[in-house]
Amino acid sequence: MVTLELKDLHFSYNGIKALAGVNLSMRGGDLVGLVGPNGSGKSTLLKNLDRIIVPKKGKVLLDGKDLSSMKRREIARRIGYVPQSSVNLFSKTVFDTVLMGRIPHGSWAPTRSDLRKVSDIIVEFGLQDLSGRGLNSLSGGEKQKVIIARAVAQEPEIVLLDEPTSSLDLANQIDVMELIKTQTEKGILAVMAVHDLNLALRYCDRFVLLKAGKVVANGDSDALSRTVLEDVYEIKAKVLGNGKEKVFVPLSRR
Amino acid sequence: MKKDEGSDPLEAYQKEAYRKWAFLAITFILLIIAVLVSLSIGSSDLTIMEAFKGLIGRGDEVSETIVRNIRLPRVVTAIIAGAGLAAAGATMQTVLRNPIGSPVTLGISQAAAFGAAFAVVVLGAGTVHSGMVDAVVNDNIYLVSLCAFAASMISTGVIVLLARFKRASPESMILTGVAMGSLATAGTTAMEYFADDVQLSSIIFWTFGDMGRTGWEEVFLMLAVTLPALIYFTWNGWRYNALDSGDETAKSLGVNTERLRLLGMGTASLVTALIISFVGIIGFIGLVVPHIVRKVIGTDQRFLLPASALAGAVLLLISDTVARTIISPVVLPVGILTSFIGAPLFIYLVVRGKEHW
Repeated sequence: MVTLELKDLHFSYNGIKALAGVNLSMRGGDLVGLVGPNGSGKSTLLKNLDRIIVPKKGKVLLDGKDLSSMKRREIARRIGYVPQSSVNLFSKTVFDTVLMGRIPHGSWAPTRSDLRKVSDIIVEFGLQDLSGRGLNSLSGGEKQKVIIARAVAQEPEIVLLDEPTSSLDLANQIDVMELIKTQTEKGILAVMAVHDLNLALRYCDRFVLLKAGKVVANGDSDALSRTVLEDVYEIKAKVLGNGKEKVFVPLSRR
Repeated sequence: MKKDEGSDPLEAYQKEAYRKWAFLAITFILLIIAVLVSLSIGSSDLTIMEAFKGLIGRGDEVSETIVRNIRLPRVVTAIIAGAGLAAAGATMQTVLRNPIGSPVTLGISQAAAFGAAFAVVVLGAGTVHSGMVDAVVNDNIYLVSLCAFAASMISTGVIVLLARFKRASPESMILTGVAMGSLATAGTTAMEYFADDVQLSSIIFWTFGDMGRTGWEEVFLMLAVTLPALIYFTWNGWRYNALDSGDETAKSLGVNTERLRLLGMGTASLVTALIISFVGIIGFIGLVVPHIVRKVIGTDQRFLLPASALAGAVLLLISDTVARTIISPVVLPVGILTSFIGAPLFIYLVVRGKEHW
């Protein structure tokens, strides 16, 4: 199983601190929910994990190997990334979009086996009727599934997802979460930034709660206690149920 | 989730790919026809068969001289210029993340015009003679071309250098390009203000664009730069697809976005600058041919780039052939024709074609 370790990770945007010494350790098969208020550093952390942006200090170790010593292509063969929004210039078809997941494995053009793999993933994701459609013409839910399919086509050991359900209706949220869950059941590590705590509580195996670029809580759903959440979000709240059935109800600002 | 509906995605994809190959094949055949037609018509008309025989060295002496020495360099120039400008335009639109990316957006055309004006006014390359057949001919075309090319490359160099400081962001490239273009236009206007009548007409006629200025030496030079560039663009087509999906996505797919963008920009600018410096400013091809092709075969850059090159070659060759024959013996500036033929076609496709951006 793959392991991902973060050691004293720091990042800042033009001098403004976004990550202030993050230490974490994650392993394959887990769905890790990255939670915390706006600006707490969730997206920044994900981008550092894929070297889309480069940490100012600290290390990310993939199976013990420093990410900074790896080529971008090599990283792309092992880590897939699903961005928060996908605005395309010259919209590609669904097939071409998923096919891009094979770029890290190929040279200038996809092979016959690349095409077969992509076709299978499109069927697995139930997207075959949309295969020839342009990405920009799809609904939010459909688009998100396509982007996740592209990440899966990379055949990665780790998938990073930046709020994959934020603009989706309830049914599509469940669809997308089930797709992600299917991947982690195959042994993939999925790290997902998410705002909807209840959705996270329902699906994630582990939680990392961030505030101002620091890890405040890290563990299973018990780590997200009422007092910790009230403190981090600066609100009053109620917590009902336990484990996967745990529900967090925000009541008012503190 | 639906699992059993719809056809096999791979089958559908391959059917679509055959359609794209068919477009490439048809455009290639069109190009061959356009070449033969273009070689056969002119002040002394030949039949297509005579032109073909002249081309392969089986014709009589007169037809061979006309075809090989007079018309062929012009035809090959139009093919190289059309292919280079269109493929470079398609690449610029992707690396700049801008559907109106073109040599004009980056100020390359304006810089070339300034270079030409500088050569004419300051370096005295402005003696011209005018005739019915050749319109205006500049007597020192090498100096003018060299200055046009140098000015374009200096302007591009400034854009690339500044972009490097800004991590090659498309916004910084476009904004610097617009500023450099404006600077070059101001420089050209200043040159024109101080130019005499002969120099002024020389500058203006240079900017019109003309396929008849090149001999075999210039043709081979253009080919030596344009052909490797076309191969480079097509080689990177798949990665350009990723770039169209945004820098974050492209990086996460293992693409070195900064390098791909700077090299793409640099190569596209080099090709464009070289072509413009030899044939003058040909508007429209670099901007619109890629859009026309996208409307027909879609946005996959692996097909788009070679298809744009072929379509650009066909459009420029037809335009040039019409330009030199429509009111013969007067040769119309080809840029007028490229716009007259291409603009209505483009508007039709904007209205009727698929939406891609």
